[in-house]
Amino acid sequence: MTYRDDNFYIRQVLQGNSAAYANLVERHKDIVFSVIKKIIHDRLEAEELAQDVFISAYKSLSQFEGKSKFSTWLYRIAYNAAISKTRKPKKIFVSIDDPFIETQFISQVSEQSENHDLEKQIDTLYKIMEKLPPEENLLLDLFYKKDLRVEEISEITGLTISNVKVKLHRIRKRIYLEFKKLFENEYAK
Amino acid sequence: MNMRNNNDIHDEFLKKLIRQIPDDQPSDDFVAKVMKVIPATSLANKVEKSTSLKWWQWGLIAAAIVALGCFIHFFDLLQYFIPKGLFDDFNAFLYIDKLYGIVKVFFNIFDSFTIGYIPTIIIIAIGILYLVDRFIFNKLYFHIRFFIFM
Repeated sequence: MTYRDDNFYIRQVLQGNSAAYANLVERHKDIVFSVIKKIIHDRLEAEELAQDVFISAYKSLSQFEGKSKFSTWLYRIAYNAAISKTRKPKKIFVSIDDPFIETQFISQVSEQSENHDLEKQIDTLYKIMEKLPPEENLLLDLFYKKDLRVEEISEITGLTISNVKVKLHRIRKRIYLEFKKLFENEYAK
Repeated sequence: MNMRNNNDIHDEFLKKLIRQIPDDQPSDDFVAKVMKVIPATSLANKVEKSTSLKWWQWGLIAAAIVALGCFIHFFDLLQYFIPKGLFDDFNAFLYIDKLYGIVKVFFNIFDSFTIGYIPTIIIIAIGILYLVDRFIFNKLYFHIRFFIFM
């Protein structure tokens, strides 16, 4: 099947072929749902909100000017919808003077990880992610899993680029500290 | 893991682990549910709104038309398209002169404001295009927007 980019389907929808919107929904449903689910933990509620997001994006499709990618625009709608569902949006400012992780420490932990059970590491990471505030969990997911660029994440979340970087760095630090604990406990056994 | 500096957030180790955590996915009939709700009526309004060209885009089209008109006039190319004798008594510039006169009278109300001949033609062309757009080609110019300006 020929690959068509998002703009092709947007044009189709704007020309009156509303069925073409199904392609956009199919393509982006997983990330939209994932973004919302990270903030609203209830599955049913997240799915309903994801549907609302697609409907409201459809209604305002004519306002999409193509300045950013359609996906970024859509994820931002999803993010805002989820945030306003949970609480009033709050600007999060992170000091960029936050101490960074020592290179040696990271290398040490990642080297140690090679000797440990992968399942256990994934399980630990999952638990850490569950404990993270929703926005931080989302940042981690968008950057490391969905491979979105820092600039795109900044556009979606409304955080500045440097804040996104600092927050990601902090989360990483926390994860590595947890891993360190895990490995030390295992050695102690 | 290679970390060149402390500021680097790229982390293959973390990436590898995170990707192994299964993703939450919406239900299988998610797309069908969305498509069921999308109202067909809201689309008609949307098409009309979405196809509006910006003023500068109209300006560009108008300027291009005027330039083409001038080109045809000054190089006397019209004779190749229109059979001789058909419009012998017709002089487009005569009509433009009249329109120019009307516009000038209008702008003369404001003493300090002056307007040149070519801008007058462009303004008239924009006006005509706008009216054509509103009343006749409301749906057709959609293609112009996407294929010329996207």
